[in-house]
Amino acid sequence: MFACLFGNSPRLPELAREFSPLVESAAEAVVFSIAGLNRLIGSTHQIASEISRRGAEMGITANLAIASNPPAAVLAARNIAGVTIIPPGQEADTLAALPVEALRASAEVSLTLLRWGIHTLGELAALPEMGLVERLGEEGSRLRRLALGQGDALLAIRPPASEYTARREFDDPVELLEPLLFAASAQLQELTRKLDDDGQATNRITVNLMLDAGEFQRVIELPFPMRDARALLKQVQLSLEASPPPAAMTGIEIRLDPVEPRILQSGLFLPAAPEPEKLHLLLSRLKVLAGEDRVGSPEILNTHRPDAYRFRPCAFEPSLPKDTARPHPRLAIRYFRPPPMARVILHEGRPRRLLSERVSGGIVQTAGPWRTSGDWWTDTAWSRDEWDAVLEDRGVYRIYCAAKQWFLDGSYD
Amino acid sequence: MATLARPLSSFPTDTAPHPLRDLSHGLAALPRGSICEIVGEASTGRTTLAHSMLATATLGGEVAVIVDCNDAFDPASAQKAGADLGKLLWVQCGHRLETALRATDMILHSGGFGLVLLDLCEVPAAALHRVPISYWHRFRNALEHTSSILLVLSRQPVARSCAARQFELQQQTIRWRGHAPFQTIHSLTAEASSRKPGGVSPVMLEARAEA
Repeated sequence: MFACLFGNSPRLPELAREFSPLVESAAEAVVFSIAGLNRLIGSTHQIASEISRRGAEMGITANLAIASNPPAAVLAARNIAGVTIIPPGQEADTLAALPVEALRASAEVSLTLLRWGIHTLGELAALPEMGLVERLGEEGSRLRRLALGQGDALLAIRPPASEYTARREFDDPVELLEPLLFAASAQLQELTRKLDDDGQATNRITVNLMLDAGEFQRVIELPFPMRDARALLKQVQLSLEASPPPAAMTGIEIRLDPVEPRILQSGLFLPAAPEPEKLHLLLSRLKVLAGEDRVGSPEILNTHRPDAYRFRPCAFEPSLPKDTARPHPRLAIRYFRPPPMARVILHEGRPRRLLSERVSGGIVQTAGPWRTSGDWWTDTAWSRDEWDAVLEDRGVYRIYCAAKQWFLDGSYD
Repeated sequence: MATLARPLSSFPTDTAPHPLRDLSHGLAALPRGSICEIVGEASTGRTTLAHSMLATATLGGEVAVIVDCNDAFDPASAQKAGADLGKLLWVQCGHRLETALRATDMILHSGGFGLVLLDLCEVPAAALHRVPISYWHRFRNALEHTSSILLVLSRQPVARSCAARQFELQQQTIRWRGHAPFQTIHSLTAEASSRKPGGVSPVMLEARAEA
């Protein structure tokens, strides 16, 4: 059996949850299951009475209908004032007097029914189903079943908004991260279990550390929802190791922001890609190891400035192979970052000898100069003369002269 | 009488029958789940060859990583070679060999990458000699039973017995276009030969400069 509350009160879901965890909230109507309440409360009339009494205590004014299926309960609650109890098998009789407008059909279908002289649900229910389907299609069959009080709609249950917060205070101030992470591990296990039970994940961890004087907060944004306690703990650990709290800690509070979990559909024939959780953890570790601004996917900037790139966040989604012809191998350059200063000996205006901390030797062949400049309208203007130079050891290098100073730019390889 | 069994030789293998022939065409020459090395002096085409491999991996839908010990990688060159930079992870190690090796270890154990390129071209020979062989054994063990390839670029062989393939590049010619003094580099050709026993003859590789 199902009950439906219809009214304007915002506390309708709260009232429904006092009687059942299986609650569907819609506009002005709340449907919930009352299966099993007969053992606790008694007959259907007693259940309706109890719901009414509790609603009155909460100051709620609403219609209440109880029926064997959700659509019949909703129809009755919306259109019949007060408390309505529809015994199983009597749905059609109870709803027969309601006007067809109660079905909230489309304007076109409602007009058609009126033209046919159909004004009540009872008249609609008396029409042959095949005839309705022939004239109104699938919608006709659905409306007739509603008029008969039939329906097998499932409740779209939304869990109530929960707080995913765990707090713990220590007997003695903690100075090291290890015991702190031990406590955080237990908290994250508990919180992720709760998230799992509610079918939720998180994309933000907020860690509040209570210090001897004041508080220390770290907010860790996750690129996608996850609920693996170990992965979350590792994120907390890396974050706190990167910027440890300034004083001994007397307590810890962890809050997870709930979001819908990520749904992925992988393909059998897609090439392997790193698992997102592992990738995020790997990136965090690599940033700790190599440096925050030294890890990422390269993106070439829209400028003629040599060696212009930036890092962008990594997001590797599985994808099918691209069916494109690969170009002929192109001669690559290897940059010396930062470019070392060099001393170049010129002969008739062309480089003849290169001296630098990395490479030195006579130059046997050159090409250039290639004069480039740009960004003269900004503070980062650049202007330089580039040369390609082949040294005696057959190494091919790019050197350039900027502001009367020579630099070794890179090598062709 | 017909048989349902097929001889083992009829099943496809994970390597091309003539690795060197396919070297310039990418990963087909390299066995999955193993360490491969490309060695050679400066301007022998090591990086060009590595970019071709990056292009093959990323266009094939795989994710590739470059562990760049001396911050020498040029993303523009890789893109011109056909690599999809959106499928590439670049780790700059700031001239620190220890960082490069630890980063490689993390990446291999994380898994899921088609090609891991460890660029040690500018690392001095003395520093490479000090890398314990146990590092390479650890990398090889991490790669076993995976579809990843660890491709090491360096001046000299470093992985020793742990490498499944070793290719040595030697520069042959540098071709120029135009007449002096108005010349530009046209292409660089190198000879690639296998240092591991395999009985395959060397092949010539050509890398063209930008027109």
